[in-house]
Amino acid sequence: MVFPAFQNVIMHTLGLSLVAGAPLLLMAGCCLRPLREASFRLLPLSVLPALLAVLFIPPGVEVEVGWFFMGGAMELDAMGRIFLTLTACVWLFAALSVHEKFRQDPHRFRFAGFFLASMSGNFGLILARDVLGFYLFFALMSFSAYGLINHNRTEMTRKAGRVYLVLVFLSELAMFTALVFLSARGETPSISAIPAADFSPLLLFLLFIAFGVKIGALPLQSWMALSYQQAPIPAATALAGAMVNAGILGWLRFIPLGHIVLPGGGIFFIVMGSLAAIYGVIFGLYQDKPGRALASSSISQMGLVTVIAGYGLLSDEAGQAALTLMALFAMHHSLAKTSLFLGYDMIDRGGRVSGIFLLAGLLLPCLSLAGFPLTSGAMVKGALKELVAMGGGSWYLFGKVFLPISSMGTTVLMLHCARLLRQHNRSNGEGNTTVAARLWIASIALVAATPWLWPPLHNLGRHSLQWQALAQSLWPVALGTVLALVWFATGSRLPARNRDVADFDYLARSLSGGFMQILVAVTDFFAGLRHAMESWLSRQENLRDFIRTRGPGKWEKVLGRWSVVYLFYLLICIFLFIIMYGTLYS
Amino acid sequence: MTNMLYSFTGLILFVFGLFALISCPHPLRKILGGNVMSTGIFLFLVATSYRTDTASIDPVPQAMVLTGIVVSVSITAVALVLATRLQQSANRAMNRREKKNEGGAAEG
Amino acid sequence: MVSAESWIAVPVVVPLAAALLSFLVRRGSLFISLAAAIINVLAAAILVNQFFVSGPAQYAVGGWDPPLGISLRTDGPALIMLVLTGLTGVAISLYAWGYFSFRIDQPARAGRPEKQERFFWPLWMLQLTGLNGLFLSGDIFNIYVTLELIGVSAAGLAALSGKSASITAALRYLLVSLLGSMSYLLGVVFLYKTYGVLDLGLLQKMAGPTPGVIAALAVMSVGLLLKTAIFPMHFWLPPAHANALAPVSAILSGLVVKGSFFLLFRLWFDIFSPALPHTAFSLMGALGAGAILWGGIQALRQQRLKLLIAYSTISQLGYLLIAFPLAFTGGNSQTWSAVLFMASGHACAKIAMFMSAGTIMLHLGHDRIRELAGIRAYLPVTAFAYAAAGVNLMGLPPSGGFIGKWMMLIASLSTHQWLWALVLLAGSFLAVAYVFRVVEQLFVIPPDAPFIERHPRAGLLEWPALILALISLLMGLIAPYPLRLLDTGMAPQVVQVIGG
Repeated sequence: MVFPAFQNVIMHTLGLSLVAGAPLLLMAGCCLRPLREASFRLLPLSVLPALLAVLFIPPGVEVEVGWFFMGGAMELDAMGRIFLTLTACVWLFAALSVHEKFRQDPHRFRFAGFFLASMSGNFGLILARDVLGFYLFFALMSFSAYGLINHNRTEMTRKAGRVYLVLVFLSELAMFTALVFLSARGETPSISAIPAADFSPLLLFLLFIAFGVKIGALPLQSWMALSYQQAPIPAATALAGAMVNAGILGWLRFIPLGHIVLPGGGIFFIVMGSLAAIYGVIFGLYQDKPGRALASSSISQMGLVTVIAGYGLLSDEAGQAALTLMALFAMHHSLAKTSLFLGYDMIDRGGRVSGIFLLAGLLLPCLSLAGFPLTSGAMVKGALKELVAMGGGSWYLFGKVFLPISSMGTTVLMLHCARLLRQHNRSNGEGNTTVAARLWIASIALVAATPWLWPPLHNLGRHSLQWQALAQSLWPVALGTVLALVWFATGSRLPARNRDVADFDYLARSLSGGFMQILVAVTDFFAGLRHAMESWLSRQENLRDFIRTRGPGKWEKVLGRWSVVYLFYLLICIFLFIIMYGTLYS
Repeated sequence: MTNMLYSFTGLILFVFGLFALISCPHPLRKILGGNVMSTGIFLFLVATSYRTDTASIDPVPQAMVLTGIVVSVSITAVALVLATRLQQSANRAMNRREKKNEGGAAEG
Repeated sequence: MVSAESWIAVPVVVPLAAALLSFLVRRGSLFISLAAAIINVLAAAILVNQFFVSGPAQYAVGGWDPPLGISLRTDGPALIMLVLTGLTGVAISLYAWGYFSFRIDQPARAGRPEKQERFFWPLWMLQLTGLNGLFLSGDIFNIYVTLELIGVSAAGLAALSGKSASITAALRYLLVSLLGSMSYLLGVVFLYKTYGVLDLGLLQKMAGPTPGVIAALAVMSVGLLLKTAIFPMHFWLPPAHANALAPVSAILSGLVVKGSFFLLFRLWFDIFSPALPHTAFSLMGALGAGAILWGGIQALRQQRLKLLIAYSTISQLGYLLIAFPLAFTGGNSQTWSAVLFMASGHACAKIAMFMSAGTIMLHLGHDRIRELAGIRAYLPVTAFAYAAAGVNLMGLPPSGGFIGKWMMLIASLSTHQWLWALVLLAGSFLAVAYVFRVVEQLFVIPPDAPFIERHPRAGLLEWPALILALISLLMGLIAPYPLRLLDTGMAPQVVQVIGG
């Protein structure tokens, strides 16, 4: 009887290790000249272990991987299973699309390498049960994604990549500091056992920065529009559909929602989130490129996730509710966003779908995001209303007002996105588009079917079918649609729209680039300071001499003398002797 | 008592050698200083082979001294070779400089 | 043919035989040495395996048991260092092969590289003998002999390039190492006078705080600190390491300083730790902190690549010392395992860096940092190896340096020794600065970059460096293995068998 159990352990260890390991193995294959052709052909198969793990590994299996990076553990818990299913689906779509689109590209191996590395990081962080393992995989994913954004090394992609990299560094720094705080008692805790007692507002703020970068929380969002537009569309699909979720998962794993109450932190999250939700809509309406408009909608939707987390921090029971709601929201958003990006991909490649089907296919995910009845959006928003009710007092009122406004805004923005997508001119429509079209149709089916087939949503689904709920979710969308149609009919005019919003410099100086502006200003300041220092130094002969001959250089010369070394030799010897001798008789 | 005398003489030799190794700039003196140091240690070591409890002599320190002398000789040899090379290259550099100076004088 | 327990003598005997043979047989010296290096690494692997099966081993050379005889023994720390020298030894041998054949191909200075190569192999094998002997020896006088062997062969290697600067540096190096080993020998005599034994195991049982032990430890420690080039006694290291031939710089900076450090580690943690007060550990930590900061600052000042790398060695050696107070008060046995783990990670990274610097110097003819722009264009593997090794020095995950620094950081925070944590972070920032100073030069290709043809046989120069750099970069991922090896090694009673 022992033997089958042992066999199971081996199977589970192997299965879970391969989830993150298979993409890495393929990546190694992509780096080696003799294997890379075959590795590229196998690209979509890299997702297979993740899908198999979701299907076959029973819940509650925890595997110790003692040999790996400070001794880690892997587990596929309920939360992880939701995220792994979702992430694996998105990566599968993206991988199939990359496989088709990059077949002739000369740099396809490099691109596939970065693609697989970020995939591996994304899968690994879902499974990781120890804090350091999570950190490692998160870093792998974030830094490899730079290679996806700066894929062809043109001026524009390099700019986008640089903005992304600066923010990723900021996020890694914040995360590392947070880890140090968490481990300050001498033991690095496992993710499930992060003590609520140690949780300070400072730690919460650090986590906000660390994962806020990934989800585009308000002052940290400037990379999103640039990257989504510049990255190849399959990579943008992965960024928008899968990697964003890693940020949400980070909050879910690290903030012990339901065990802590931090009203100050909660208010901070709610305010930042609602600002982001509104800002995303306004910024998005200014965009005339599909990638950037879709990115703005991500910023706005992730603002809602931040709001949910904020409400979760207000009380214990709200925390429990927020925990599940954030996961559901992540699922709802990334399915819809993936479908939109796949549609964008198909249109970009020149796929031919007759007008009415195209419109319907694009509108379904758009309306789902807006919260139209009978979609997952409506269910999630219904749950959000219940959560807001738990907030109590003024925050309940705030939610009552804010949620319909946000729904209306989202509707207008999503219709704008759908319009941009329909009007999009295909770039270089060569090659086969059937794969792209099939992927798109599959993703639409997924968006339409998931709310009704997926067990965790059954309750919410029944709830959303009541008349009152239907009416409540319908009116903001209807109002938003009317507003959007009026806006389209009057020529989509906006104040100061005529400026070129795609221009990076404009962006850097606009509201969205406020943060970048500060960064630029700081670096400019230091560069200016250094310049001033240098020019001043070049005029100060004496001082320059001092630095060159009296500063570290001079002291290094002094330390190079035998007599000085002798002195230190004797001093250290005597000190050691005295110290030890002193304790001998004390 | 004589044993102590030997030990202290050894230590004093060690310190003398150390001082020479540090303070004399010339490589040869430094090498000789190192030699004196090792001799001091060997003297000290030999003195430890005296045992009060038994009449016999401890053979281990003697074996150690013999090994130490071999090591010391080889290090001295290597150091001397390096010092000679250094002297040669210094001489060559000096000759070259003198030649240059002479050439410069002839042209001038 | 070879009995199970006498495998322990192989890492000492085989390189020694190879040294003598390659001195006699001039033609095949390269292949003799290469074979010896490979046998060495195999023997290390077999010893590790034996260790996991049957625990620490002891072997009395010639059948004489301690206290009279000399014993060789294996334990966790010794095995880690043995595996390290084994792996890096093969890589250095391959690199040296490529290096000398590259130089012999170049018509300038005919005859000189051949001569250098002829003396390189025996000296390098002697060096390997000395290091392996130092790690395996269980007898403090025998360790003295290996120290001298290391010192003499290192000085010989440092002088190989034949330039006047390198001979000056080599002579200074020899004298310093003489001073260091004489101090150590004096300590040996004190210990023998006090206890009448030379065996490490026996000393460990007897050692207590007596005046004899204290005097011995003080002189031994200062001598070893001098030999390890710990600030402020580091003056001999930069010229010796920077003026030597590239494979020699790699050996000196990666392995030789680790030899004397290993001995210091063994004395302080393994043998005499009960006799030592906390303040003594703090003094070591203070020296380490000085080394980290001073070495980092000096590295930033340098104009030549090899000098920069040499000063970064001084800075990185400081980390090994700063762990002394942390391990002592932390009470967590992992912290001192971190010391040797970090030392081996640094060895791989530093060797890879010196190899890359050597490859660059062969192709460009100089190593001025300002003029290195665009190396990536024709030596991509080398540039990548340098950057990967730099990640380890900066201490970013998943490198071995990250694990080491992380464990030290946690130890210092949990025992509220904030000062050391600050120094650790400051050192990392300095490392980021001096690594990026070079990496940004290597990777940015200016439009007017000169086109330099890559040597067709540069593969032997580039790949060993890359492999070592990758080992140092990915070492963190398998950190629990070496750490467990170290843990079981230091406490023989809790030997665990992996998988059992």
